[in-house]
Amino acid sequence: MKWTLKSVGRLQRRTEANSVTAMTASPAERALAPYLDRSYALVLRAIAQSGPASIEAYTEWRARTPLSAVPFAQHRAFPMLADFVTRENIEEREYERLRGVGRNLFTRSAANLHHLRQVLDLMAQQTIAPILLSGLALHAHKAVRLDGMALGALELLVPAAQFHVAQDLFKANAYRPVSERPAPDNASWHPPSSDCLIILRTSPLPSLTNRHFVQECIAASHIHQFQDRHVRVLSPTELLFCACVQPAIHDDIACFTAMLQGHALLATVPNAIDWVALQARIRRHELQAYALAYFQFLTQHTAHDVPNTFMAALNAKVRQDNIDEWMADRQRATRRSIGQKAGKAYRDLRFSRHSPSTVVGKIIRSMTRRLGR
Amino acid sequence: MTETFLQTAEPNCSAEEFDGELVAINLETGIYFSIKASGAAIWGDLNAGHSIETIRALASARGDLAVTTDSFIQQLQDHGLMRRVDSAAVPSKAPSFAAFTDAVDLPELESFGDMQSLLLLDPVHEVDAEVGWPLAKKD
Repeated sequence: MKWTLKSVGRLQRRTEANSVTAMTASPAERALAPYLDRSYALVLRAIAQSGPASIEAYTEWRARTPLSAVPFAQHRAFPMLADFVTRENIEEREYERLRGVGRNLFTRSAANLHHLRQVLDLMAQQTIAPILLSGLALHAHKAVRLDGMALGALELLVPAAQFHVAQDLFKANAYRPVSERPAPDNASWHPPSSDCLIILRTSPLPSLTNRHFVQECIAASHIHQFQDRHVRVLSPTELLFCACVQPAIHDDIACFTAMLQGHALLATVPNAIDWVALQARIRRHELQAYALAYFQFLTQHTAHDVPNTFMAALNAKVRQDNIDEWMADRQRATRRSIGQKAGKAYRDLRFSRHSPSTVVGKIIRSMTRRLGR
Repeated sequence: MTETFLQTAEPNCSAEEFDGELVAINLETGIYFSIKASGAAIWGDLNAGHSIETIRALASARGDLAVTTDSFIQQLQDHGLMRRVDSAAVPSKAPSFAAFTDAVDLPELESFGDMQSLLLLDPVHEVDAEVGWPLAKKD
């Protein structure tokens, strides 16, 4: 079948229809929808595999959609696709456009790291030692190059006790808050005369603010020499945990970024992953459905070694359980019913993802926003 | 004879190589530079610990190359991309610039203006398909 834009659109509509059917099916028939659609699978195969498997995937991907119409989320893989084209000696007439994204990302990332140095120096004045999260942490672990990742925002974990001190420091140094009423556990700022986004968090994941989880992340963080400074960096196991249970599973950009992060970690520091600890954490907070969907996609389209016992445990739990929560989370929060939101709040409490006060705070802020609209 | 050594002026300058093309950014001025072929080789050699005098000696066989190479090395310092250091590591291999002394293309520092305005350019949709980012479409 020759792929055209129309047929891709039809396929997307069919996939959405199937996902609605899955949400209303009986528990026995329920199954997890794929983490991402086939076009993402093809990109992942091309960059993570080699030889005929990757060439076949790339050829199919290129035949589906012109580069100009490729989903924005896939642009961040263009530098890796340019590497693939060079590695496999493929004739690609739009090679310079693929490579150009890498130059653009490098320029952006370099500029962002310039701001990061200033933030680190500023925080050091108040003995605040932030922990680098997400893409920054991957870069510090040398799992990604500056031209290979989209450093969209500088994400920093700041201990809850120092969260307000850090914000006061920003205010005093002419940084600009993105919102006048930030959440109590995360706040976004711009440096003076720049649009670079700095996100301060009191937990690595907005969907998991459990105090013990945060303390464990801080305790397990590594000290790295980064940008001529000593900084703390989230450990590879915690990074993989955050990637596999990231909550925005309705958002292709977040999902594909998480997938590329997992691929980068398993390609560069596979021996640094503590699978037993990862499994225990997933089980403790009852996040098996998220992790299974993520790792099924990752293992299906890459050659990374994920322990069979780890996958079997996830499979067994998801087969046994109701997976309503994962299905509900495939929808944007604004489209979820009151019942789904209440169910989510109940599970957040039951599986120790948030403290009761955090859950109540989230409900109040959500209701306030709704009333405001 | 006293030798002069240069190194990338970190942290104000960041540089990365893309298929033999070197991209360097002065984060203080916001200017983006592209350095290709023989220029990228000189950059690599200087960072590897070869002195300016070693590079000059290689370029001295050709008048045009000697003049351009001197000017290129001066520009690297004037634009804040490289800075003088007292000493450098002992180079582990011969200078790669040696392979370019017969080349037609002379070392050149191509600058692309303000980085902030470049970053507003969509690298997929608004670029020249032949050359790629950072050159905008010609239509």
